[in-house]
Amino acid sequence: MGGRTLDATTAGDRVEPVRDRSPGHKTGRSFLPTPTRRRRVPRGYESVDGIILTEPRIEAIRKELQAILKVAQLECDGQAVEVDGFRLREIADWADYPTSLSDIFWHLSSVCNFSCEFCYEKGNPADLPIQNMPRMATHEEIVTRLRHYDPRSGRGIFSLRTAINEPFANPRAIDYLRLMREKAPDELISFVTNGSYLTEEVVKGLGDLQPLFFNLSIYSVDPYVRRTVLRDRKGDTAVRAVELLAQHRIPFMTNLVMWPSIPFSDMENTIAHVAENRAAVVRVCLGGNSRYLPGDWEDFRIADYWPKVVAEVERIRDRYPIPILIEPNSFVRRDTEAVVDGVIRDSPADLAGIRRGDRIHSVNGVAIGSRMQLISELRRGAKNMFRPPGVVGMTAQVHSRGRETVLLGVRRDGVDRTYTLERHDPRSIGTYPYGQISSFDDFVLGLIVTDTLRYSSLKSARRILEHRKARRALVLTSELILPILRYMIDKTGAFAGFDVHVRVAENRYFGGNINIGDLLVVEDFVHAIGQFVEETGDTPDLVLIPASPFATSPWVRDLTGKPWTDIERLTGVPVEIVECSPLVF
Amino acid sequence: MSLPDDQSGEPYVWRFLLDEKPASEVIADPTVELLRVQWEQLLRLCVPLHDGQPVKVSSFALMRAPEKHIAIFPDDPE
Ligand code: SF4
Repeated sequence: MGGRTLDATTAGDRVEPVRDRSPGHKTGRSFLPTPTRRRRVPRGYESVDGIILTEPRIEAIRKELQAILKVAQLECDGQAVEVDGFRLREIADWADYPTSLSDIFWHLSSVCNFSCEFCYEKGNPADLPIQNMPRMATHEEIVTRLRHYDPRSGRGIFSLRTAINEPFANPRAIDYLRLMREKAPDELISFVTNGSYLTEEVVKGLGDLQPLFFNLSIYSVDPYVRRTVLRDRKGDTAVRAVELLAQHRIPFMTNLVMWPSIPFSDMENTIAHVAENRAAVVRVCLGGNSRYLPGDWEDFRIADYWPKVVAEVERIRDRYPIPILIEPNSFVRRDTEAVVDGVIRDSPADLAGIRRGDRIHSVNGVAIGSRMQLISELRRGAKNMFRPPGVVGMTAQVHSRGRETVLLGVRRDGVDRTYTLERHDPRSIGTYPYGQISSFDDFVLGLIVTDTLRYSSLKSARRILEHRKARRALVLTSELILPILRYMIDKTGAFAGFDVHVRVAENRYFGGNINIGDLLVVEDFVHAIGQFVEETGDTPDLVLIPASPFATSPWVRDLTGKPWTDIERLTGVPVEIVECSPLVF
Repeated sequence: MSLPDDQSGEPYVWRFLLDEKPASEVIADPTVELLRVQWEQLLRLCVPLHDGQPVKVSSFALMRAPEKHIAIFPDDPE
């Protein structure tokens, strides 16, 4: 700090919105992904871009080698030798990264046979390390990953992060699933897929590889929408896959993305189709676009569009016996009440008559004060498994040692009732999909309760304020989280006695109408601090930022690969990071 | 601007001592030694490649003084 005046424009210069990036901007035409400014990687080599977030030490080695080779020539027996790359000496020494079979499966391919109009992976800035690098894992890679994977500790070789992943685009996907089953017979393997490779033969082959859980990005059942908006050329395979999964009793949830070119009637038809085929849950994702998304989205106003989607979901939801979740959830749930978001059909919660909107006030006699406390109580004793960033948003836990018999205190219409629920109630266990997912920790008792901010994050924030003796602190959050954060601050008085200013850090890096905290990057925070100083004429003596935008990297780096500590380096203002997890549903 | 200090006040356990004698006191050309140590450490972590194939490396020479060969592992048997 040292009396330094922050110059908001200095930080902002590098992130000014670049309009017209897409060639289609003026014409309104839609284009395939704009080629990024990537150097071609010769055959047999790997770009380090995909591992900057997960294993920055390899990037450090590369940079050091590059720098040193500029001043020194390597030799062998006195003769110059040429070097154009490197490999790690002992790969086993690097196998301490948190991973899972699901994560290994994720590496199978980074290509997708669709080109959805809304695919956020097409809207990445050119310098984002996680890019759409078309890549198919080699057999050696998958075998090596499996060899070094220890299912007990959940550790293995560092992940590669690429943008688009349709694992079944790899023609050997089923063979690899078999290898994975041999490695860990009981571990849940879950994956995101667009379903277009799930033919009868494939689904049949999956039947004996359970426990599996599909996160099926079905998006639409309308052939015209599928052809024109998703650019699906595989006929009705994905739509039919829903029926096949049900026939083979393989559990799945589904995703829809609501987007201006997808009619509401199609959303309802899709929900009806997946409900009929007993998807565990359906997520309606509210579409948004970065400024880089090909096409003309200038007039796409999420402030107008999202409420309409939400209203439509509310209008139709009671017609279908399936939990319908809206994502981002913080757009619709702006409090922390321990309210049930849905129940899985024929689950113990369903059979007991628990309904969406019921308030849970106690679990086995423990008073429940918030949704997050409810989730923790339900999962008490469960193994806290790593969720690979690529599959966040889907279930990833299984064979929990969590509660088996649960006494639930429920309030509905002001009346309190108590229910005793058995997690493995035989009446539920025989049904699909609950029978297949009863041991997944996201679906304990068939209750769906969505994530939100934790009060413990506010407590940590307060502890930091006290410890740093902050006089004037700035708390940065995202547009979506602001309402719930304010609600929690007002409810708890967490910052009482401190001069705390809460501000939104805009998603300037991705731009467009992105408003999600987990997509904030270092330069967005730097800009927000600069803006605050400019606006108030005063520099805060402490800035608190959320940890979730840095959660993709165990090295606490943002999506561009920059460490969070860069914010303090670039602004000169002391910055602390407040623990909070990315929101899952 | 420099990297911020760790001010979180957490008790910090691992502090590592540097060698008592700065390298410059005992080494004739500290820059060469700097590069040698870097190669030595890097080669313990990784294998240099050319066209995807491992390359054997035993010494290096500065671009500005190519005639002088510096052994990366001076204690290697001849
Ligand atoms: S299916 Fe998913 S990854 Fe593939 S183009 Fe569509 S949104 Fe992108």
